[in-house]
Amino acid sequence: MKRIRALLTLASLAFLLLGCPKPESSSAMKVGLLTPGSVNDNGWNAIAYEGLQEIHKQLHAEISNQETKTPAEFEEGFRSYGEKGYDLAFGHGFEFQDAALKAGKQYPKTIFITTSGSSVAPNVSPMVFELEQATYLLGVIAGRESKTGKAGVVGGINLPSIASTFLAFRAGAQSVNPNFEVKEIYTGNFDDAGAAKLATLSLINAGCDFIFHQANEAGRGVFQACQERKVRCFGSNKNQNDMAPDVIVASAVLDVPGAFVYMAKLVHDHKFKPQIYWLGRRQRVVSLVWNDRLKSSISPQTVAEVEKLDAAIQAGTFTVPRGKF
Amino acid sequence: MTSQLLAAIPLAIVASTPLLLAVLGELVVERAGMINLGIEGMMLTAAMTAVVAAQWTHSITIGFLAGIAGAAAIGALFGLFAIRFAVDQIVTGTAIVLLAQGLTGVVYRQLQQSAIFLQPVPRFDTDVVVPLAWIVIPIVLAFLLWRTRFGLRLRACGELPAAVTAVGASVAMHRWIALAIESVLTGIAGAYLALALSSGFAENMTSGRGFIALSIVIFGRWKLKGALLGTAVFGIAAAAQYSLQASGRGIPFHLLLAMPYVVTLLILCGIAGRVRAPESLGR
Repeated sequence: MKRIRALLTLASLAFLLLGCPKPESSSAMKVGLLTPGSVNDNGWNAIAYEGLQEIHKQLHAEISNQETKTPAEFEEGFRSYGEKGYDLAFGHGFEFQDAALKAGKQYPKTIFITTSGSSVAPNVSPMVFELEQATYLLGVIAGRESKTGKAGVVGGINLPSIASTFLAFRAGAQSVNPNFEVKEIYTGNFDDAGAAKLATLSLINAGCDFIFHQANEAGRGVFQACQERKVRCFGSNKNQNDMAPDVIVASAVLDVPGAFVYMAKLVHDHKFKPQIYWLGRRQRVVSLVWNDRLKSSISPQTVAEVEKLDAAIQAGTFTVPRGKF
Repeated sequence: MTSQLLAAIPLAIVASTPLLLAVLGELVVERAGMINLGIEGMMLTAAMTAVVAAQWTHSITIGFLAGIAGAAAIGALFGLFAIRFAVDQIVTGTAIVLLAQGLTGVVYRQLQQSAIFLQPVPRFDTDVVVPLAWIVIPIVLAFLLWRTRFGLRLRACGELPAAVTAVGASVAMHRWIALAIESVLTGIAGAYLALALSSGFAENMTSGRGFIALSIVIFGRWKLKGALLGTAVFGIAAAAQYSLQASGRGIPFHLLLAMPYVVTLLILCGIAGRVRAPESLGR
């Protein structure tokens, strides 16, 4: 028994040693990441971790990540990166702002970035994603192409970020048709695809002929309803075009790993300036992805109009409205 | 507006079909003297096995069969502990829900990028499940539970198990059969949820339907009529509140989301009648 245990210990030690990444040269950039949950969640935390991996690949940076749950752990995590001389530390969520400000004072050589938020200090900045730039364009498509003058949106929970994308969608639709009506339903959660389907069918019954959703996983129910009734709809956050290729016209896509790489490159090239970093179309973090199979069902004028607007947003000559946070 | 609310009724009947199947299944089990909290886990597992099988075989029928198999596997686990080892049923049921949520969650996250979960599921064309759930199964159950010797014995397992033993019948066997009936019904419910109401599996997609089913059985006073009425009221109230949200009257949606629960509670409490649970429920 003892021998087996010793063997097991040896084996696990060997495994640990072999499994460790080779130490990088000391000149390599060091990047840390604090996540509020497990990086295996296939969602909010996983995309941040993916961003960290990309930073390692593209910039050959030395990377580290920690799962931190409480404000005390946020601070502790940031401090550990400051102490070890990291160049850059991400806190993945607006809840990391206070900890970033405190650690920022203590470790002026490390740059602290929070995902969303508004706190700025000489070495602290938030990055804020502008998915609204794409949802505004989806609104324009609906405003131009709808025959009933009505579109519906299905949300999981009424979070500021979700309400803001709906606000931009409505603004886009009403920019081309001032009388356009956007009906809103919240289902109260992000899991129940059955509820999302019921909500979507209610919207279709109320005359909506375009549907946009922010229901994450429950969006499957939205697509199911749209397929059944042959009503066109839009995907969100990820490129969802393949999930229902007969009805999804386009998706508003958010490239979170791209945003992490963007910020790391700024720091790497010594171009970082303390400010709120709005990351959207210009930084290629946000994009509108057409479903090529259905693009032909949209009139060429609308497509041209959307592409023109998209170019204006990218050039910075047109600003899309956002909700209050 | 009224026409829109009326239009919500057929939507409600379809959308609450999985709930009804769960309610009917739980009713049978509770009549046999067991409380199966694990029903939520059975449905969730069925949703996943149904999607996996339907994607592999491109067959809706096989999807539903796999759903039943998935629910039966979890149901058998419950039976093993609750019937065979006579462990506390509430504890077993809770553990089974957590197990199923964990298992399906892990499998889903591991395979999320594979075609099984990315591509749309096969089209569900002729819907036989709705008339089956709302008409055929209640009639069959009413006959089985109240018009046959088997039904009498099954109900006796819930009231006075000693009487069943006294006539030389096996309580355990009747409870296993009740669990099998529940497995078939919740298996269909889970498969319907994932294949007909959704275009595939989503993590924790049953989102509490099993628990709502449990309370409808109780508020429906362990009767088939109560089960049907409770589910219909809950479903119609849910669909109606979406219509109200869509009408944009400025009513806070949080209040509207709570409406189905309040309405169902009021209606089922308002029906006069003696409330009496099966005497040996949970023992």
